[in-house]
Amino acid sequence: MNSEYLETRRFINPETKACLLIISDLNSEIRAEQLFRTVVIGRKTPENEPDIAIDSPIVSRMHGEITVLNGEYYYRDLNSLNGTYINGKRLAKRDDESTYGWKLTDGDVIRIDRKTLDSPHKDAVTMVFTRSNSSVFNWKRIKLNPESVFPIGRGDRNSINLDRAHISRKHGAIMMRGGKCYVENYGGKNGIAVNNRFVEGIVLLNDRDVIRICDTYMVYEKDTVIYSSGIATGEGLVVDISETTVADGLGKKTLLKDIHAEVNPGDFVLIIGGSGAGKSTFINSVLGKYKIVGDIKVGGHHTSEGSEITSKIAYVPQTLPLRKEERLIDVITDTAILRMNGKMSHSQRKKFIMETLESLGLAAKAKMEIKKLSGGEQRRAAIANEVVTNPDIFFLDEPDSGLDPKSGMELMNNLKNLSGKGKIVMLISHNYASYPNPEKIYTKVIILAKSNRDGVGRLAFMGSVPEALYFFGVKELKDITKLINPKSENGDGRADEFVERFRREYMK
Amino acid sequence: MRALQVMIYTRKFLRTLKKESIVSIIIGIVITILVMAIIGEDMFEEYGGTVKGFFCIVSVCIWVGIFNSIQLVCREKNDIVKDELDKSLHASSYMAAHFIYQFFLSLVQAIIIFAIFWIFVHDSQYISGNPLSYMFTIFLIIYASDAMGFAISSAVPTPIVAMTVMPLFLIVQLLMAGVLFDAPEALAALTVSKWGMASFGRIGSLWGIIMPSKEGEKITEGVNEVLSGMGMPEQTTELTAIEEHGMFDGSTAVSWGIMVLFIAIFFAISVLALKFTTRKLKK
Repeated sequence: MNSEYLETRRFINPETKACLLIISDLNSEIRAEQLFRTVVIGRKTPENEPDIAIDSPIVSRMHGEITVLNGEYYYRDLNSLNGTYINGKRLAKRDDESTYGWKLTDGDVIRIDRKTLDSPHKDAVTMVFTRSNSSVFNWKRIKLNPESVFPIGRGDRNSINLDRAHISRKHGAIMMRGGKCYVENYGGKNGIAVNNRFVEGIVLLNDRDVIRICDTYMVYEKDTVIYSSGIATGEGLVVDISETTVADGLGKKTLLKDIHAEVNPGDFVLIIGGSGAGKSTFINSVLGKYKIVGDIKVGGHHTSEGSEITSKIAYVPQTLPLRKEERLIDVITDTAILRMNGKMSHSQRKKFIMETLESLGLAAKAKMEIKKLSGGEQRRAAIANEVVTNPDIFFLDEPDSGLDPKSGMELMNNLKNLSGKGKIVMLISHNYASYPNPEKIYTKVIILAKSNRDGVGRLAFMGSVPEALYFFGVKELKDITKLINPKSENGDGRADEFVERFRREYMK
Repeated sequence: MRALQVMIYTRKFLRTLKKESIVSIIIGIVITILVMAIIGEDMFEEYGGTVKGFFCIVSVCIWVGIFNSIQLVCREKNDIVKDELDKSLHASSYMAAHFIYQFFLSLVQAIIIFAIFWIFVHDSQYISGNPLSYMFTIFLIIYASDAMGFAISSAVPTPIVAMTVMPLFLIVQLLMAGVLFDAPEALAALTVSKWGMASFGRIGSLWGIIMPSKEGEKITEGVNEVLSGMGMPEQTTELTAIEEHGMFDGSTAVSWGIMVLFIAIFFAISVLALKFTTRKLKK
């Protein structure tokens, strides 16, 4: 494998371009809507279904619109009743139909509220425009006690520990004084912004104010702050495969061609495609089991650099690699000792193992033999056995195979949580149609298709689920496989058309 | 790292193989009792019966040894071991852990088989040789056969194939023992059975102690071929006692040494076969 002279094409991933965080109240889950095309924001009614539906009576049915023009994003208010506030200022009306477009920048805070922003309406909606992938994940909550100081910074000594390289050890603090809340900037080099305006010294916070430190967002209300603790920074996985071949008699056979993809920390990626499209080959190529012409990078390092890089990739095969006579805790402990040897102390390892089992809902089953676990639990046990080695990337080959939809969905939630901790999770599944709202489960979908011309698997699409549906012009993911499958397999045989269109529109 | 892997996997096998090892030990006990009940009466009482008795003991040990290990690797190598080898496990560590576990299992089996054997023969008229030498020989035959089982198990793809080819290996071992017929020297030298029989013959001083045959003939009549097949010196006179027999005489040590060498060779074959059959797909 020689990457030095390889001509590659850069994959432009539209899904990570921008995202809208929607905060209706601090007790609800933070929604993250991917922005890749023009979308209308509004209140959902039986007659009206906007692209981004918000359940609030103060939001108009067609409240605002985000338009994408040449990679830039613009917001305009569609003559809503209550108007739209951006970074604390209301957008001025232009005519009877809408405002002028506001060019959104990273961190802009869009509020739908009443005029007195310092005293928000109970149904007010806060939205944050962000281009950072990491800000979407891992939201935490902190209760603010009266007359207390809550330091913000990198390290365990801080109440709000943001373990990121670009955040100072003592970056700032949130303080409760006399029933009011303040934020103080200690002068950290990347500063602190409130409602996307950088602040010096101490600033009074009002309910629903959004504090931003680089790609970390915090929202304050009364005695609570929620914040995205983010994910580990890194360059994730870059796959650049020009060709994957295997020996075939005296010659060689090409299985995959032109697969160029970037996956970021925190991504949960579904890999789908018809039979023979190269799904397993794709995984095996990344794992180094097949010879490729191309390059695979993990966290900016080539996998050819050695086992230290490849050890960051975990793989859970379809057939579970577990000895069924062993107890779960023994399996996990052995793996942790062997593959994390010297990286953590005995007590740290023990704690990490229990946290891992708890996160996968297996803590109560720790002392059970693998063979006594249910099918779903055995799958999760196999995943736990990889999680304890603390890799950055997980590949799973049909982890939900043989599971009922409920167990499958539970497994997907476990994997989603895993990706929420900054891991890349990529899986092949044939049961994806059994799970509702795939756009809320998977951040990306990779669609592979077997060419009708040469029978070689190629990339037909990579992007978010809504974008995939838009690209293929279908309502459900399962409809895509019908479009790209060969006619001999009851498909429409349009694989080459989509491969070519994707190459033309998304790669340069 | 390899030492840690060996330790962890030995512990793992202790946990996972305990139950089937107990079954294996029980089956070994039953078979040995059956065999000794049938042939024990003639052992060390008359020459032919003693040779047959040793042959049966060797057969039991080979059978027990191969059965200890024949399925252990092939049944998990496609799903589990391949995955572990892909990650960080060394094939040599994995096999070493198996060999360590089987060392102790073989030892336990050897002690039990010897005990049963000794119960049946200890008061025989012509019994000779150090009991510990018999036990050690039994152990080496079991362990070397166990190692051979690993070599087969590592080379074949599935337990079904392993169980299919196993009789072939068993038959070769039994035919080459030199008891049933005069086996070709070069081939016989490659079998555990030949060196097991030779070792027993030396310890039991088959050529040196006069035992009557069932037909009332002297030991030397018609037995030199058998002795030759077992790699032992031929009897020259009816009443000559050869003084060089004993626990640590050179020839017994050679037989033992060759069986130890077999174990080492089978270990190497097991490691290579495991590596080869689970190698990455990359071509």
